[in-house]
Amino acid sequence: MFIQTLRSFPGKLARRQKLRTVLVVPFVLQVCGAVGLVGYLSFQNGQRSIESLAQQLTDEVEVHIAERTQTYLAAPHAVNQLNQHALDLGQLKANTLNSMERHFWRQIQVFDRISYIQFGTPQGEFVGLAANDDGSFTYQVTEYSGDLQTYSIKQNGQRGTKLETSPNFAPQKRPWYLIPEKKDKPTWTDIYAWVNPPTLAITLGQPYYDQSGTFQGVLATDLSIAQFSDFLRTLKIGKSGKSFILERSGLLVATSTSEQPFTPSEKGPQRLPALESQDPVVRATTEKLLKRFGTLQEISVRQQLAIDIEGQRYFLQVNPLKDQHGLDWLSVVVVPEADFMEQIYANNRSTVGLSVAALLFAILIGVATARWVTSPILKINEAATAISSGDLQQNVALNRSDELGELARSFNQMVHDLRLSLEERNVVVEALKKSEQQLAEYNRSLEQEVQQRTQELVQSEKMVALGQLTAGVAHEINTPLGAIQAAGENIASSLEKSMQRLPQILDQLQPEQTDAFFELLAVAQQQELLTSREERKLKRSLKKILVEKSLEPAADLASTLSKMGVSADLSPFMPILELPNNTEVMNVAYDLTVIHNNTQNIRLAVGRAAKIVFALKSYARQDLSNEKVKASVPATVETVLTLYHNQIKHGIDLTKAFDDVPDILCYPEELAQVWTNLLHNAMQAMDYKGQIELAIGLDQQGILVSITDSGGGIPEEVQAKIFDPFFTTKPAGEGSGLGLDIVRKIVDKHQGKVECQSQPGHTRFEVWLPLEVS
Amino acid sequence: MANSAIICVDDESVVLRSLRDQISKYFGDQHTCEIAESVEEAWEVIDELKEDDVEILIIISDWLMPGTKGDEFLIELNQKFPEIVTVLLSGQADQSAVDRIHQNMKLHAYVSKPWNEEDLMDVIKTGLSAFQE
Repeated sequence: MFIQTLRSFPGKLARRQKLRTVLVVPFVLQVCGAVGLVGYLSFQNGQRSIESLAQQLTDEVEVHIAERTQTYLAAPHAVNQLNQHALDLGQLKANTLNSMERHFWRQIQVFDRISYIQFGTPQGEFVGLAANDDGSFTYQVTEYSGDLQTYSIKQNGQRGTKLETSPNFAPQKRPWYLIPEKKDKPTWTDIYAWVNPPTLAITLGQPYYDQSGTFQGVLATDLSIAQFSDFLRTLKIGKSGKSFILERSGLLVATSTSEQPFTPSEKGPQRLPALESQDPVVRATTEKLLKRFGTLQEISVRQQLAIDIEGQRYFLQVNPLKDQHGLDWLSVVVVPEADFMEQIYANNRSTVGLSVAALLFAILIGVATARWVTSPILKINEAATAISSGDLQQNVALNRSDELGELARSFNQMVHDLRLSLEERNVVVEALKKSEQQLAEYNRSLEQEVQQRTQELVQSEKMVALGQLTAGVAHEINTPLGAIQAAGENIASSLEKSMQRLPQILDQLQPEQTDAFFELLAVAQQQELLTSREERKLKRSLKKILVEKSLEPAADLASTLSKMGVSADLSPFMPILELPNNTEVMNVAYDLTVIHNNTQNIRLAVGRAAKIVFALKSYARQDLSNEKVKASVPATVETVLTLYHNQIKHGIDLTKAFDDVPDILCYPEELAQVWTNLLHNAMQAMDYKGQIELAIGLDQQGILVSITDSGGGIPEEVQAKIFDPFFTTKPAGEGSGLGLDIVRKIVDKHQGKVECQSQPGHTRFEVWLPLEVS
Repeated sequence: MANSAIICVDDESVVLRSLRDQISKYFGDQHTCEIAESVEEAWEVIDELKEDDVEILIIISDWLMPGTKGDEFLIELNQKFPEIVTVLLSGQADQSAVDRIHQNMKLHAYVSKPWNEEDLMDVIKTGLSAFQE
């Protein structure tokens, strides 16, 4: 995982940083790592050697202290011992105390650390020599007076003048006398405070027995403890190490610090507990010891510890100091780690300094190397950037024979090639542009051609629609023409026949019969035209009546009467029906009716023909003016319906729901073309059989014309395409596919819209035409 | 009353009455002329005439008519009463349509609208003579 991260690191860096950074940073990091590691290891080593060095030093100091203490403590014992020997040898007499004065005086010349030598007897006699603070000596004796007399001493050791008398002195009540006497062996007193000079002192007392073994008194020698502190102060313990000596009770005996191991008070100097020392190191060290061991009594062997005082590390060594006379102290040596570390720190400082220098040097070299490596690459990069922005006049000047020089040469070659190929490309592009222009021109002319062709197609589409209409229209026109022609001939022949026979018949008829004859003509002419079926029905009922009335020939008469449309009430015509030549009379009447009927036929047929001709005329006329006219939309629909009358009549059930709508500005002929297309499509879709609903109404969006047919519908997949030009579902040759395109174009021209919904059996085209067209 | 009939079928009553008048004028004494405005009605007329034992000689039919077209009617008629002479009278000017009819059935004659009276009567006469043979 870590390795992976490390591997991908230069890559990550490269993505964000410049090439030069990528080259320099790993280099610098390497140097940093190496220097850091070396520094760390040397620091670790230093630390370890310091610990052993500190241990060694404190050991040495301890040994020194112990030796010195032994030496100090040996002196009082030696003095006592010498004095005992002198007494044993009879050189001194226990009962002649003043003989001891000069002996003591000589001794104190030798043992300069001794502050007092004395001898006391059970009888209360006392002789002592004091070494005073000012360097003088004095004798102190009792001489059976019960008081202590103090004498000065002359140069030769002779007693001088009496200096002082202290009353009521009882040596045998002093601790230096009582304790050894009680223990019956040489014994130290407790440390006690000396008033003048203020100091601490300790006394070694030794009971004296004469040859016969009788207790004669106590020999004692005082030792000033101030000397211990002086000695401790002389010891060099590291740079600021300290040492002190403690009693097991925690009271200070001596200290290397500047303070005294006692405190002055009105009652004289008082012992100083280490815990109340002014010196924080002494105080804290004692505290740590107590904390560590509970009481100081517990420390039986030398101990080495490392402790923290006020955030600083100290090496601590404590050592019991004992002798055979019951002395039991602790010597303590404490050295701050910093004393030793100073050198290490100094080393570290120089290491850091050297490392920084090495680092700077490495960075400089790295930067220089990176620059040396990257500057050609950057040059090439710059050139490449310039090329990519279109400037091909690039040449990387690099006079080097290494890989980078080669790269630069290759690059220059590449640029050269690129320039050449670009020039070639420009030529090609130029040619391409030219052909594009040509193509655009072709496109333009093609567009024009297409437009022209489309126009032709639109026209031909119209002609196709017209052609489809032609058959029906021809029939429509030929039918009335046929009827007119036939009617004309019928009129002519009937007129001829009746002209021949009418006068003859009228001559034969009685007035009553003549009236009936004209009544018959009048009825026949007023009669509405009957359908053939009605006529046949009428013929049957007339025949029945005629048979009942025994009028012969019933069938012929019924036929003629029914053709004339004479109803079943025959009574007014009985006079002529009862005639023997009734058939002849009826035929003449019928001929006259024929003239009338055929005249009516002609009128009807001419009307029909005129209507069709008008419709055709309005349909085929081109909108040449290209100007909108105010016209009725339903009228345009009617025109088309007239044209399609024939087709619709035969098999199509057309329902019309035309509301009143206002005239609008439009191109009526073009609208007619719309309806023609839609109607024609509808009829074709249902194979000319089915229902067509035509509706015209007003809608919010204008006039809505809808054409709904019951044909098969438009398949859903082609519904979206039906308005596209040239899209057709009809077999080849039957439609150009332009019909609905034309419809949409015309509707667009009217700013209307056309929509289609279709499902089998129900296809509905809706055309909206706005009422007001801008 | 003649015992034979000529039937005209056309959806235009104007045409039918003109035809009847023309036919009556020529054959009024020999044959009656019955008219029907649709194929459906034509069948009714045929039934009625058969019932009255009237012989049907010729049927003249239009082609484009609501419902059944003239050719279909004539084909069916041809199957039921092959003896009846058929004449198609139509305004349909499309020659290809006429050709189709000729291909599909045995037609005595095709007369186009507008028709000439004499031509039509000749067609009927030849039809009648063919019938008599």
